[in-house]
Amino acid sequence: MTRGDWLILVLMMALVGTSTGVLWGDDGGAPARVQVRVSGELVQTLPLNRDRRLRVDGLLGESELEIRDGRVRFVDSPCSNQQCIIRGWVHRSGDMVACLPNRVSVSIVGEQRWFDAVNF
Amino acid sequence: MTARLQTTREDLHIAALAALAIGFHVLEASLPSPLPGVKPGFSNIITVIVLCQIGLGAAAWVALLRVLVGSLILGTFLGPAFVLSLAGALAALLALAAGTFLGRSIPIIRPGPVGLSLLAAAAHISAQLFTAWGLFIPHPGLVRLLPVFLLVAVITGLVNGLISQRALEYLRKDPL
Repeated sequence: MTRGDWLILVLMMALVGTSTGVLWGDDGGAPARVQVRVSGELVQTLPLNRDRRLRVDGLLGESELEIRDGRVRFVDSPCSNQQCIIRGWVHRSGDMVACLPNRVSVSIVGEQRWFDAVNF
Repeated sequence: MTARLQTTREDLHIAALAALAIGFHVLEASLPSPLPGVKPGFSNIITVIVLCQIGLGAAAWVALLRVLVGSLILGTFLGPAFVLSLAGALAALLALAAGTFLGRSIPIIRPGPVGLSLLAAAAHISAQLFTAWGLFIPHPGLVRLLPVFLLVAVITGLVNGLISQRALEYLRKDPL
């Protein structure tokens, strides 16, 4: 095999890789949204692709949420166990974080659903 | 009055090679395929050999004769399978022309039979996919199969290229 043969082979492998990434990547479909619920009632729906921080009034006090780089997390919450903060960033549609003591929950909805249900 | 066709040695050579390619084409049509459009593409071996031995014009003759006669034998002439086959063959020829041109202008990366076969396989299968998508199955999901088809092209292109290379080595010792 000549140098040109190897070059073509490598380029084609790279093309297989990139086209897989582009066509089968995570971000296919409509942009996902973030739904914020307090005591099960929907209070806000926000686009996941716009960075922002927000405060949500819950049962115990204010929870602080952050949306950044297509992900969402709890930054602060007045609960005692801090499970919502420990959960960290979530980004897939169907993903969910909840602060049960404060009755605040955040879920991601999009066209693609990665999970039917999430359980802890 | 009978018309006599003057045939040159090269005409006969092309006809013999085209017959070989047609043989592969028809043989392959009877092979089961995991995915429509996925075939070993053995007739491309002949196209690559002709390109390396004679030139692009002869390769075009062999490829197009193969598509035409192959479809007549299989009964797909002017049907969807023929359109796909023709689109693939034309794209493969364009890719072979581009590969040859590239080799002439930048001799350091001159592709050998393997590189040419890879280029032809990739062009062949992508042209078929996009033709199928544009004309027969305009479903957005079809394009997502591109990586799968390209991977198939890498494998078949490599195998056929290596076969062409071996065949060319034999032919150099013992020409037709």
